[in-house]
Amino acid sequence: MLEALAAMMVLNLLALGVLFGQFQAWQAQRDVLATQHAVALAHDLWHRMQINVRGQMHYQWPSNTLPAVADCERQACDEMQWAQADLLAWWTEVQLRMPGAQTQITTSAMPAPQVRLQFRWPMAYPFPSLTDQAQPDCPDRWHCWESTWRL
Amino acid sequence: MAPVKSPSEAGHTLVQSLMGMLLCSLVLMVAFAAFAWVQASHSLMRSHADLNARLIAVLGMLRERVQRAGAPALQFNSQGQARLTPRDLPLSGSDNQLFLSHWRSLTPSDCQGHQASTLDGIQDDFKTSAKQEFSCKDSQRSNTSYQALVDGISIIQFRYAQFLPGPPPLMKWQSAAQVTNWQAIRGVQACVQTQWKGNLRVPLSRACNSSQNLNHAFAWRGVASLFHHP
Repeated sequence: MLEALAAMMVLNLLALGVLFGQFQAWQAQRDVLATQHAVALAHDLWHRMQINVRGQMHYQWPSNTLPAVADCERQACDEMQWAQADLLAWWTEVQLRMPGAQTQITTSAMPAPQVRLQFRWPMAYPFPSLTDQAQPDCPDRWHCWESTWRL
Repeated sequence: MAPVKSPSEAGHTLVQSLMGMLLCSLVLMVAFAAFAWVQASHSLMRSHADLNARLIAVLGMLRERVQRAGAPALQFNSQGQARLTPRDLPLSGSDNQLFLSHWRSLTPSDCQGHQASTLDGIQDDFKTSAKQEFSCKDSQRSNTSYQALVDGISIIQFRYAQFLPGPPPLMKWQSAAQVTNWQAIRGVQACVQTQWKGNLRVPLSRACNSSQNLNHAFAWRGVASLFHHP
């Protein structure tokens, strides 16, 4: 009887090990998908800024001026209005594709005109060992991804 | 006379053994239930990834061809002088169809990847087919037919960013009927909508052709800038 119980305990431990492996694979797959979204959304933002070349410096997020955002499908917009409407449309896409994600867009003129885009999204079921080590300033139990490009 | 056992040699009672087996069985049941849950999550994730891959493929393909459209070609006149010749109308279309034009000398491949054209230009013509496929053909050539590029795309809708010269210079997203000058288009927004069957949980998105939220369908909006405008 004791041998049977010991065998069942070993089986239990094996099952738990397999389960943990599966869980980590699932989490990794989820993060790959989120990174894929982050890259695609960065590409989309870059294209948006190429359309509105004159208003590129207005692409800042979070922005305090968004409540007065214009609808550029109903009215013609100047470069600043266009940038704000663009950011809102882009942010809507971010929430659609990466629910719960946070972003920061910093467009600066000095020393060289450039855009810095930062994404972070929460881990579904965080484990301490899965904290993103690649980004030193990434909060605990979040994944972070960032990109910088010249204007 | 019954043998006397020391306490270290004492066995387990039937109740203790049954309790041990019960505990082990419980742990096993929980492990298998969790395993089934992880498997189901994997399956859902695969469906989600497939859905995303289709939408990303459509937007990626459109972006690549929009960036190429209208690029000037290096041409030589009879005196051997070189000059860059722009394409007259790089982009045009309707609300559901997009035409992108480029010189064949820049890249001989059409949107299907064929290099069959002998004409000066190639005009990629994108739309969704009746079979819900994102498809395209080179409409500059005669006798070409649409080929499916991505399946499961129910609707694609285009909006065009038109530059309105000032002062002050303005821009506006226009439907095809509202565009007054195709040469003033600076970019295109594509709304791509796909449908699925099953229990895929995704955030609610707004339909491409109405303001209603979608049920068992998903719509993404992406933008492509036209680099080479006249």
